[in-house]
Amino acid sequence: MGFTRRDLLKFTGGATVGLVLTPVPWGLLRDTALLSETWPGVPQPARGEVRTRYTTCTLCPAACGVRARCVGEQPVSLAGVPEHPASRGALCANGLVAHHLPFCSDRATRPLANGRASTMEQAVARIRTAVDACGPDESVAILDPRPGRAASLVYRRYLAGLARGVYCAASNPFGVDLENTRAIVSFGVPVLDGWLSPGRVFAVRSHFALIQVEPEYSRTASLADLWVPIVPGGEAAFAGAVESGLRGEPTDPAAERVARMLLDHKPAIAIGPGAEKLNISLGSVGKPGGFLRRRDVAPATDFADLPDRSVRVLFTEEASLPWSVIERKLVARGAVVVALTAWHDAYASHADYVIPAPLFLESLDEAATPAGSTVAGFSLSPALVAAPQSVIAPPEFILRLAGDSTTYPDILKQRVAGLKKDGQGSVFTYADAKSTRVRDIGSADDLWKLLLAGALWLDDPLPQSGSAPLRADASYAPAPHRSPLMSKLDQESGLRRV
Amino acid sequence: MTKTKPARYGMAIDLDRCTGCGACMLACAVENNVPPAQPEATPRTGITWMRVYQISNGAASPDTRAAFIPILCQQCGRETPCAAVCPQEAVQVDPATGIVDQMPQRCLGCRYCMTACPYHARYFNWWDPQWPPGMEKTLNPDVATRMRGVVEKCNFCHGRLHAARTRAAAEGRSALRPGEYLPACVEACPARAIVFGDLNDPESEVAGLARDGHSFRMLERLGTEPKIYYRTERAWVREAAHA
Repeated sequence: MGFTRRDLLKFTGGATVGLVLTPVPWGLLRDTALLSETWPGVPQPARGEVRTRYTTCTLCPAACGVRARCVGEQPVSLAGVPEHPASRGALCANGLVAHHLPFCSDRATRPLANGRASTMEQAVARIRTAVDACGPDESVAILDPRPGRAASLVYRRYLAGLARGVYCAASNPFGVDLENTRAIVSFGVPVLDGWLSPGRVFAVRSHFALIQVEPEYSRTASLADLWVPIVPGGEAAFAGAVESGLRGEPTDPAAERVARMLLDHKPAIAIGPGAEKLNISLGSVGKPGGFLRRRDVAPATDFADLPDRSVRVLFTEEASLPWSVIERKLVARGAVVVALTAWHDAYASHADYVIPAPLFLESLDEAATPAGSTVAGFSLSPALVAAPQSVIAPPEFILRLAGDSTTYPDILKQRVAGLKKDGQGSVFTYADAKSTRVRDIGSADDLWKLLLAGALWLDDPLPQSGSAPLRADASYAPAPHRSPLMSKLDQESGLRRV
Repeated sequence: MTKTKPARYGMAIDLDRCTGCGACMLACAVENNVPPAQPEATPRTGITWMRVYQISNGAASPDTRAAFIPILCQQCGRETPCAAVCPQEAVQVDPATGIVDQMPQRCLGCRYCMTACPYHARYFNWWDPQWPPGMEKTLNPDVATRMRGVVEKCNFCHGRLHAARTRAAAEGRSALRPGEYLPACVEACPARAIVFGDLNDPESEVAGLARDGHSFRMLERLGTEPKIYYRTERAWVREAAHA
């Protein structure tokens, strides 16, 4: 009895039916499906323990509290810290995607000397030579965009050791008592779209009337209670007309309407170019609902006050002034500009040397007083991800240039120790939203640990007096370097935000 | 655990607070692993589960006025157009939450649902999702990426709903507490213009805002019973939204 063709067919049929009844084909299907999910090209999220870490945003002077959801060591999303005194739980669009910045194509990752790749040692040696070659009528200047930091102290110390070193910054001893303001007249300041922390502004938006005076119908103008279109450059003239209206003198109808609104909503403040005199008329300096003095930072030279063609070597961080203003101050021939920056944009395109700096979240950094705060503040921004080997924090670079063996973290620790020694103010911790008086914290080390885990030190309010030259915190420009996801706003939708 | 009344999750968006900053759009993309645009992508082919449109009253300066309207899946509660036309049953309305779910695994890419959606709130993957080198490690591990050839849309951050339910179950609760589950856009909005919650709970803030005299729903005359409410005191904005 042999094995016939019929037997073969029966065996095959039986085996097929039998196989279907076993878990084998279903398991294979599942395994194939799982395999297909890990094929090359299929995106693989990070795996690891999910935990929350806290830090402070350093992208702009608003210094918002940040809650980072991390998988392993990698932040996968950022959000605001609820009840944060400065940011009230909110982040701006730039802050929400700040963890993507290391993946932008235009970041600086290696030192450049006159557009060519260089080593850090070569760059330090050449810049040192340029500083030493500074003539008797020439100066070495550092333009500090955010005075009041420990980094600012590093810059001052370095410049103090030079024959003609000038520390330049726009220091401002005033904050805005926004929570008690009942009216704001803004001369082109993007109050709802880039002035102070958005969370702080919107937390009290319903409490104040907003008058937006500017030529363009901006986003802030679209949500203002009153938009007053003016000719470009007409801010000071319109402010003068409003002052006349406040005094009850006949004036332009639009200015009269604004004056009436300001008189009906007291206390009121004015912000932006042309607002200084108006604030004096409104009596908004040193009073609740107005501009309040906070602990001052050491005085600095305004960059605009430097003599033209006097700066031989200039160090810059992020762009804070138009390049045309900078250029006017540089000596006509042989000027050296050193951009301590993370990006190939802004000043870097004009600089002789580009020294790559770490990004937010890549290195231990600090945030000085949050913009607009009525009391001085300080917070740390710990590193959550590793920085490329070739980058160096700007103060660290200046320390190296000065031949100082102190490190930037040492300087930060000294600052924290100083806060503990002063014993002023309190510390708001992000994780539990609690405030603790500095004097109740055991030691400087304990304070350091608190700040490193996510906390904001806030000074005590100062006694106020109305007699001081007033300069309101400037609005900050949105960070020009952008997460790849910003394509959602400027390429994939009609919401252009370039 | 006691059996609880089904929820009907919805949103109320205050257009008088929306500055058009786009934070909601970015938070949505981060949460749901929506990739950056391909070089060829346009507003027509891009993927934005939530999209903020700028509208104008059409008047010349100085009478011109503008407003920003975030549009997302309106979570239609009656005769849901996309669910009605899907040949694959890839769209289903969850009776426990009222959320209109999209299952990309079932989708065959016919795009009938996109045609049927009166709000243009559905998006097709014209390309395989791609992130710049290294950026994949920033993806949200709770949400699967989608493939080329399928449709996707807002699902009120379903991953967050699952996480909230898991937390509640671990504590022996079957119902979620108000505010325990929030979509990413709600959490991210710096102007606090978006309120989210259970429309079936008359005590909830969102239900109160839905009853507000200044609230309206997009294209209400179609009778799809959207669960997204908009609020504005500007009459011209309301008229534009009804058009």
